[in-house]
Amino acid sequence: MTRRHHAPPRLARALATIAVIFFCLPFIGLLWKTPWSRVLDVFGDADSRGALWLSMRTSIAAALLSVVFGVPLAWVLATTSFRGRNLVRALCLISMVLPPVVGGISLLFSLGRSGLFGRWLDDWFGFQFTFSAWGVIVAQVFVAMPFLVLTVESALRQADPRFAEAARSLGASPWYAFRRVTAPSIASALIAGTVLAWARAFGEFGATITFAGNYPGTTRTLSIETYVSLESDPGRAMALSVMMIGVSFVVLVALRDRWLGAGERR
Amino acid sequence: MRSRLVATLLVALGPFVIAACGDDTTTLRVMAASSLSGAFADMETAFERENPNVDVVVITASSSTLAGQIVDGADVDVFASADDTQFARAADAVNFDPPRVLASNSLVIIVPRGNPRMVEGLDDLARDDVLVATATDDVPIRKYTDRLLEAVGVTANFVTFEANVSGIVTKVSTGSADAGIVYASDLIGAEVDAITIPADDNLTVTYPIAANADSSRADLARRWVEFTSSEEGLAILGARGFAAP
Repeated sequence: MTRRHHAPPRLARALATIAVIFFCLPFIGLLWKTPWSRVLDVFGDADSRGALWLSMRTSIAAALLSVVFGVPLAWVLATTSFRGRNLVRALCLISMVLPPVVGGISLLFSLGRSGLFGRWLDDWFGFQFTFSAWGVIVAQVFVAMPFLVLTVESALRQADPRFAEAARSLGASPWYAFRRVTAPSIASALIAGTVLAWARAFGEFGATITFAGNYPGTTRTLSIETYVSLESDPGRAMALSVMMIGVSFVVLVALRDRWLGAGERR
Repeated sequence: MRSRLVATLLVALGPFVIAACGDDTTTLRVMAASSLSGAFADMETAFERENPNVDVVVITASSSTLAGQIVDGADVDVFASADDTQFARAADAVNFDPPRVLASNSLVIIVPRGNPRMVEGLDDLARDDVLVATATDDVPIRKYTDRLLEAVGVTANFVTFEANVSGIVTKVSTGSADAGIVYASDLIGAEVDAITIPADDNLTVTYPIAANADSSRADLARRWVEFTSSEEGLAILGARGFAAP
């Protein structure tokens, strides 16, 4: 696309500059305070590596689960109309705006060992999500999937339905038409949604500690490790924060405008 | 045109106006250990009734979190800590009055209602089938728990290190964990059963409290500290499960 925009007026640019500064200041403050001589030691110690590894595994699993269930959900929400659709959408997206602790408590009361549904898991299989990495993943999916659903649904609404209809009229099955025609046309939104969901899962803290707990190796993710260190060893917490910012920044920059923007090319 | 200008101004200045609202009363900032949240909320109501121009803001978190915030320069008028170490840490950064003892507390084992794993005493906390919740290293309850367990020679089957006492209570009350050790005062209002720890094994926990001598509201802060040990204050503490200092 070669759409050209007029440059925004000076006032808008000034306000935008203030916004950019506002987002940069906390990082500058953190980087300035970080004890750089310790950063390598902290990155190398077993606790940080264990927490990073756990965060990586759980957040990637959470992002994949979000795709598996979230894309069909977005597909249904975008293309069908049924009574109460708006209510269903609101229910599926509410965890985005909920304080994560509230999400964690709700998960405890539903999927926890004495929860309404979780008690069956315990009775039948002797299994509970709480205190296990599965609990971390459940908490992460709960808060992260809406980001994917929202992104993919809005892309599907803007996508031209005629291409998929044409494919269907030529004999393609609904799954085939979705996979080969619709999905490629919304590829950038799908990737952006997946990355947003992953990033939200990677940074998850409140729902995780409330629902899954905090134990090294099984439930202590990098964000919980950072929080725990803040009181005993602030320098370590800063080094870990730098690690989290680094990982997230690399991923977001790698995807650039191409994927996270609205399809604009330079 | 004029109304557009007014609307623009409202949008631009709104956040600042909202943020600055309600500045005609004196705000007293009281930081207190999580376990004091119920008692201090009651005292806040009583104190504000007697001092209508005062708005008491009670900030509760684990004592270690609060001490950290004070060290980092948080605005504080009164600090009530659940252990002396965290109070001392805060007092290194801020010129507090000499502390007085606010109240004392003891420890108790909590289990989910009905005690599904039949926990009877400290020994049971070492069992493989008893999942025990505690807090992270810096939270006072963990230090007391470790001291208590070490004295009786029990290695507990910890499965989670919560950020504060209420995290422990939540994990136990929801039945996720089978047991935890908390303060006796935490039992008030908690949906759990309690197993008493014999007095010989138990610890007495004292809460230091002091006013910030350098605060512009130091006099008011001292009045709050006095209020906590007044007849009314002690009655509130008693009702919330604390023992007299």
